[in-house]
Amino acid sequence: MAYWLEYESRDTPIHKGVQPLTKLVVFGCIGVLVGLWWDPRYQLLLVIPAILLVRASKLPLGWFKVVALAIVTSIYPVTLTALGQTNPQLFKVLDRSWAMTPILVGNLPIAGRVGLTYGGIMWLVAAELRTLVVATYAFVFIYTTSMAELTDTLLILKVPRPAVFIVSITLKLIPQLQRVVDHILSAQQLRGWHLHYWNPVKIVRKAMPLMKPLMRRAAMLTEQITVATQIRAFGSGKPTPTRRLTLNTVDYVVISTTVVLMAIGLYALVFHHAGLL
Amino acid sequence: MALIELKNYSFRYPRTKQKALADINLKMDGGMVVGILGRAGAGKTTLLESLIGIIPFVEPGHYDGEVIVNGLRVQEQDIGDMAHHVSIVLENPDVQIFSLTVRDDVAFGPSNLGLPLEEIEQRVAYAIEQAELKGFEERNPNDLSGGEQQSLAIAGALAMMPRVLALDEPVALLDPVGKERVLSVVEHAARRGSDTITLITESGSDIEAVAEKVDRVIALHEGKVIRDGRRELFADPLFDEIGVGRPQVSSLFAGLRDAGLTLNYIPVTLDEAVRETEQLLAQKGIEHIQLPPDWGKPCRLTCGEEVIRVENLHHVYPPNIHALRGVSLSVRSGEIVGIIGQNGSGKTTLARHLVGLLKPSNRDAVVQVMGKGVTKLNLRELIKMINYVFQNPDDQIFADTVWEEVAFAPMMMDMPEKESEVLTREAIDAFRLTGHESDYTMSLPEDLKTFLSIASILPLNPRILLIDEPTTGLDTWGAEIMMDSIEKLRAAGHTIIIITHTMKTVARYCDRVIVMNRGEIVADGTTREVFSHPEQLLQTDIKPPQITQLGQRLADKGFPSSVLTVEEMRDLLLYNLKPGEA
Repeated sequence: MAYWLEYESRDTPIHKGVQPLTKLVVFGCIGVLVGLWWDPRYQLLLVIPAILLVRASKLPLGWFKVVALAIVTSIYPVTLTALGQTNPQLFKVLDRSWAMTPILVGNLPIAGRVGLTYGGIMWLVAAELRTLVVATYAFVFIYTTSMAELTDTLLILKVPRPAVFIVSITLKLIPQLQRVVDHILSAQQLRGWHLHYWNPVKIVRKAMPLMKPLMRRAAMLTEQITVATQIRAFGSGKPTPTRRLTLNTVDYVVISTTVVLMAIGLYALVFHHAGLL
Repeated sequence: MALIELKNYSFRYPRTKQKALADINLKMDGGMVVGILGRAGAGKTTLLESLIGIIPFVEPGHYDGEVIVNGLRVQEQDIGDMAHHVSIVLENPDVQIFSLTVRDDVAFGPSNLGLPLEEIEQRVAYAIEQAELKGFEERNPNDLSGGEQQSLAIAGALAMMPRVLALDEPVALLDPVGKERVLSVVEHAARRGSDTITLITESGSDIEAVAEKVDRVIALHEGKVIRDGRRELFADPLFDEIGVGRPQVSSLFAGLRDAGLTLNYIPVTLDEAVRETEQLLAQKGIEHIQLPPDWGKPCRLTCGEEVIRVENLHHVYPPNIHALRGVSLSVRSGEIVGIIGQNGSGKTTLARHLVGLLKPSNRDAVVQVMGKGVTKLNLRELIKMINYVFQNPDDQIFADTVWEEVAFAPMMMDMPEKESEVLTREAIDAFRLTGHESDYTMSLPEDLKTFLSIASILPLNPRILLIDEPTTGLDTWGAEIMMDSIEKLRAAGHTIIIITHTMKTVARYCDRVIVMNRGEIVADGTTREVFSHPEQLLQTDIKPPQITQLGQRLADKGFPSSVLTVEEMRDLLLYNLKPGEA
């Protein structure tokens, strides 16, 4: 069973049928568009293929628990930024009078007019959808691309070796650490340990039986993996990629379609403000 | 010039006073397999890591003297350069495998050396063949057994074409057949040329398997070389004295010699022991041995009440991995039960169900402890009835001192201070930690850390204790102390279940053995019954201990197929060879 952010070898079209370079191109294009688009309706266009990719790659839905947690915890700071969307000049596409429709607005000293408007809600939804879209594509990429494939692709793309080293070690370490957390939690629970507190100071103090072994094991694992890679000369010189980057028809179709769609999206954004609020 | 030479080499880790290696002078030539033996902490791993430069470049410390490998002074090279000459295989295959397929993983090292693609392909093909992985090239390493994974790690090392192949306790975490597979690969690797050398470290639990393969033995104790000689050295009683132990057949024949029998030599391998026994019997004109009248007395009777009942337990991990398939079993109080089976056979999943860490995948499963359904009990109630000690003590030890660590569980259970103090003291005494109460837990040696991990459960006074690999990582001394302490717990009324790959431990201490294979229980009986069916065990990647195998090899001479301990075999032989004195 794959842990969070762990590659799993499966017989799906995304695992076996598409080159990592193709996935990187798709991920890059989606990243550009989702970064520039501020209209959640446009972003929803990217959610639909994301859902299809999740289904096609058989990505475990449990991975999204972390995204849900990130969205819930970010709602408070994102809402604070949304409160500032009370200036009609910020909206270039939406009908300004509709965008400025107040839900809860007031005048504060120094800050001026702040509050929640329909436009602000659109801003908030867009910010959270962006997290979801980026996470989904990143998850699909990680779940379907082995470390060897990733390393070779990054090297072919001339990414500096230290960066490749850090990425590959991190991806190797994260699932290992999750297994360790799982063991430590079980071991401490079996000694009567629990963490049912709301007081943050108490939580930190009571988390020591978890944190101390975790930190120690993380350090040990990092050292073991570093040693294991160095023994096999990783990072010692200029490596030879062992797989040739041979794109097949599907790759060419996916890459060209994605690039064309991104180009259209960028054209529409720059010249017609499509995707902006 | 020697392939490996250490001249007055010493190494001390930072913030320690004692040298991990002290004034080592060694020369090793090519064309042989060298066993480096010593207790945990004797300096074996430090020695191997010094050969490639991990010490002092990755793990810094203070060193004196020189380490010269293949004519290069290691301290003047970087690890990347030394990787052309030396390759190390670590104990845990998990951290050494990086790739999607077997072929890719073997190619990882050569590609890092920047070799031309054609040469990489040649090396990969060679290493895969050497590691007996032909046909596995496109398999995912995660789908391989533990033994196959470790063979893959060795293939990855061999593909570097090193002149020195160093294996750091490569079979410690494997099931018996996995151990045999890896050691057979080591034997292949050792034949790769007269200008190459294979080093293998061992702390005692697999000494029989290692003794079958090595040509030369170097014994380390407290960082010093105390013996260096040919393979026959395994029979030296010194190995008992330093806590590593000897192969079971060597202990057997040493015992026979002490009893006054004249022997040609002390065997160190199974084949030698078979020949020597046949010769001894022939000298006395014995064609078929007689069994003593009290031979095969049943193991301890299991007459207590039922404390664990499992019926039709299934467990499926997502996406669709069937880890347990209709497991049913019953355990009675006062038993020591051994659960054995290959890696991934479902042993740990079963244990996790028994302590409520997992829930059955089927509704009609029954998992009861002391007559109560595990899923209906809350964890705080359950852990006072049954508890589970994980394999790696580093997963639970967190307190500063030994006393605080053991006193943690009673504190969590809100026990009164007086009661907590008494229970903590009893637990510390039970595992020979007396005198270490104020020791800093992180500076404890590995054996004491393992004892501490079990002692820290004891104050909860669970009627049933499940212990995962109690002797892994321990040398022979440590394993004996551990199992003696566990025997005492049984005598004090606890029921013990151990999960282990160490068949010597099972044969010596367990009343009953449960064999698991692919999520099912395939054998369940007294230790003698289970070990007397070697063909059935082989199907589950299990091999009985060396002394049991000796009896089975001599079946045509009338030896029983279920000799469990060295003492039993010695008594049997003495009964026939020196009838008056047995």
